[in-house]
Amino acid sequence: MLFKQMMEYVGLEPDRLQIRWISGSEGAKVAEVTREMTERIRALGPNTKMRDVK
Amino acid sequence: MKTVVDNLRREAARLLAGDEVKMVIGYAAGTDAARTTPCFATTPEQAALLTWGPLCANNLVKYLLDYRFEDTRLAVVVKGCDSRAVNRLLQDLQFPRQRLVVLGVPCGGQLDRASILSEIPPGARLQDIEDTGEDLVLVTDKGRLSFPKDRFLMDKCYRCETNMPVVADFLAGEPVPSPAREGFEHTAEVDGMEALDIADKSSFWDNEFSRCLRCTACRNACPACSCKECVFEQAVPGWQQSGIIGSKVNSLPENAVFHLIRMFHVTGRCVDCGECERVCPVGIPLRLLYRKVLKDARILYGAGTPGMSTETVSPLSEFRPDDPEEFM
Repeated sequence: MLFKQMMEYVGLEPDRLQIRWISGSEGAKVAEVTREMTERIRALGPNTKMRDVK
Repeated sequence: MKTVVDNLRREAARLLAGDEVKMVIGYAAGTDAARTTPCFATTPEQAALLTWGPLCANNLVKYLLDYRFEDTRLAVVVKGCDSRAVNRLLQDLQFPRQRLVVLGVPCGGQLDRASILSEIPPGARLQDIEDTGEDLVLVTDKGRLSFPKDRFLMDKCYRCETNMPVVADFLAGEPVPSPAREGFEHTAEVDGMEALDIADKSSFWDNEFSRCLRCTACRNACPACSCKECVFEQAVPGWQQSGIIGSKVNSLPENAVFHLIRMFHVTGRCVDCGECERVCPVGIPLRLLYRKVLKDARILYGAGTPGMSTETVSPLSEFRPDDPEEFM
């Protein structure tokens, strides 16, 4: 939570960070959370700020 | 000021002569009048080199870490802000209390070297700085310039929390008034930064971080950084460099990651001594980052400034059932 606020402070979208505690027996929840997260990131678009210049 | 220096020298000489300590870490006159240098006195004669004044900005507590694995007893000279770092190191068991003698000095604020030097007319040479208590007299070879002293203090001093050491075995002088001033809120700049929208924040910090040389001076001067092997210095083969969190690649995104990681690592450790910002060769406003952490830790976990006593627990090293929880 502290880290999320730090990300926001230096200008990163805080929604890119997600932490979940999921037990080993909750396989369905892993899939669900991952899908949710993927949707959210897709909506935010690529993270250009952290992309390395190469 | 004179008596403080005398007391300090006398106590240092006594400690060294009686073999109570092997070394006294203090300040000595520097290469010019507006500078002091860290001094490592090992004999009673060298104790006469010690000095104290409004130009002793260095936090000497960091040097203790160089001697943490030895068995000698050391004495260190601390100001109010540095003394918080002493408490932090003691708390982290980085230095045993019985091997440490803390020589406290009363601090009326430290001067900002750059702004003093900017007052000196071009071509003039600074010969001495006289401190009359309220005024500051810059003695140059082209005449004397007098200024009210509190125009030149370092920014952190206007927000001073403890101008007297919070831990000291020996106090070299009577308490002096705190340099803290009205109207300098602890979080004023942080609040201002938070109020910007995310694109402005992003471009502000991009601008700052793009200057970063990754010299790690901020880390080297930081009393909160006590790891033997820093995450940024782990041996990683070159072909893995861009794939790890603490990459050494000097590019804007990697610099931002470096500062984010440092920001997180000093949470609950940063005593706000301001050394990072002072030593930064490219002038990145680092305290603006770490004061944000201080503020958030205060709001989220009710944590006070670290190092005020050895009893305060760092917010990230304890769990309380009522801790705020966003991710569950």
